[in-house]
Amino acid sequence: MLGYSNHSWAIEAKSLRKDYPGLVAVKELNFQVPQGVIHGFLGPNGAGKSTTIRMMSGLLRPSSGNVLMCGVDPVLSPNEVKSLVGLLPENPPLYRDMTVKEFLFFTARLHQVKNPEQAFERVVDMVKIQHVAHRLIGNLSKGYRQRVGIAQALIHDPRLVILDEPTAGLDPESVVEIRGLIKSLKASKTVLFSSHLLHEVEEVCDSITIISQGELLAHGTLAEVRERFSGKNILDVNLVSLPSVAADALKNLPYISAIETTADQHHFRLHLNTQEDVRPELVRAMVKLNLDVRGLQMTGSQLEQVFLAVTKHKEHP
Amino acid sequence: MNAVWVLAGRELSMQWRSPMAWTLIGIFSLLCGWTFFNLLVGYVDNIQAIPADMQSQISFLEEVVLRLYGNINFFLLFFIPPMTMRLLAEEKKQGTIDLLWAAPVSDIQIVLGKFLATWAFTLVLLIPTLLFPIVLFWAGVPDQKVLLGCYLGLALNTACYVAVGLLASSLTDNQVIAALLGFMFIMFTWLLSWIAQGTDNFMVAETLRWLSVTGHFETLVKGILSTSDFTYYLAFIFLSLSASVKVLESRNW
Repeated sequence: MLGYSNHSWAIEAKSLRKDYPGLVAVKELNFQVPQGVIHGFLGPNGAGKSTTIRMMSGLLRPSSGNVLMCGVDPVLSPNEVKSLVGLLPENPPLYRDMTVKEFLFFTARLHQVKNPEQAFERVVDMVKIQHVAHRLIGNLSKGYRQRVGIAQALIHDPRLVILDEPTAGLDPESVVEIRGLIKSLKASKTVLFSSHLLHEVEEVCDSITIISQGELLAHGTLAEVRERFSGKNILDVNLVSLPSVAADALKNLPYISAIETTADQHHFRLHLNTQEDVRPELVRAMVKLNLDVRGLQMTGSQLEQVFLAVTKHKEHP
Repeated sequence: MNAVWVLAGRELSMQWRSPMAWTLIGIFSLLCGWTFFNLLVGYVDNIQAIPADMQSQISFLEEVVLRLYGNINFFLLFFIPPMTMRLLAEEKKQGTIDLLWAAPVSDIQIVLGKFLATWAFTLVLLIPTLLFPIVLFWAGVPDQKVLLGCYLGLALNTACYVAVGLLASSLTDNQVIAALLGFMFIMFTWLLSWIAQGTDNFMVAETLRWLSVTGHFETLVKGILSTSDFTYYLAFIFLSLSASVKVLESRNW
């Protein structure tokens, strides 16, 4: 469960399931995403992310269970959900024979936006595509096409934006700009963000859900998931030496569970059984033990390690 | 209904800008003109080849007018599938169908919008052929009822062909396969009438003739407007469009 006090969920999946002949794509997913966060949706290829996203957006009907988007069921009220949700699928759905302006006016009319001109001005300003508004989409670079894709997802001013791999295949400059854009959306919207780039998820997201083979493996804030799946933080310590007496004394400290030696004789890894920052206390203890401390760094558990551990465990239990 | 017009507008503007559509219209017009010219020349040759007292036995209406519009109807068999092949197949191939599905638009509205726009555009195919009735009126052989029936028949046949072409396009994401399927579906409606001609059983023959598009077209071009024919056309279009909607809905099966 996420550590937020706001219980008005933007997304609430209840035993969500999708079966295809001979394949269960999504198995009984249960999770909630609060309003006003950027939520990462992770999983290896074929995990069921896109199927789940399609069910959330009302493009696909679940086999059983349901998913409520801002409290609305896409099966019962598809049009209401479609006006609440803006979707950028993995392959941006763009008509290459249209200019950016024609395309955004078309999507605005499809969404029955009352003032398409105003909506157009708002989104081109937001995603910074004013200078290409009169160009054919087919002639734009991949980065700009992705921005147009995001613009169409925002044209009807949805409360919830779902972006499926929005930075895939983009150059580094475009990636940074699109990440900035996604962060800026948080001010007014909830964002569900799927990506294979775990460092990107760490940088952008407040919370994450990890699924594999259609099953929920982890869900919570980044810190909660890290804590749950690593259990400990790790401190990399660089010492001139670590005599065995001092090592035993350190092991007796309540927040140290193990000391790991490395190939480098000066480098030790202290496994902590707490999430608290114990560095000042530890330095004082090491000084008391006459240890010469050359460096101390909290490494924690990287999301990539957590992701690999969680998904590997699923594939090879 | 608003979404139907938005989709139809997009589809029409796309057809309008498509070089292939205009090329097809050009070739179709040339083919029809060439056919009209040949029928006229053939008629004059036939008239000149027989004695004056027997000339009245050769009907201009049957030899030129009905054969001309029968041929135009036959040409549509080849020209409509290339105009309908991309309607849904391309949307699926390019992933743009997700844009429509993610908007508050129903599958019925998607199918209706595409059908109405394409039908309207394919009627443009027939505009150059309006020159023929003008020539006929000018030459003093007007038969308003027959000509009206011919154009009504062509318009309704076009609607049927577009509807089955749309169905073919909904079944695949490959445009070539969609065109071939569309051609086969239309061909099938013709085959029914040909099979009917070779069947001895009256009931079977009449049923097959009723099921065939050409059977109803033949009635219309004679200037006979009947409820049975209109019911047939409406049912044909309704069933084809409903099948397309079902194919789109099958993503949830």
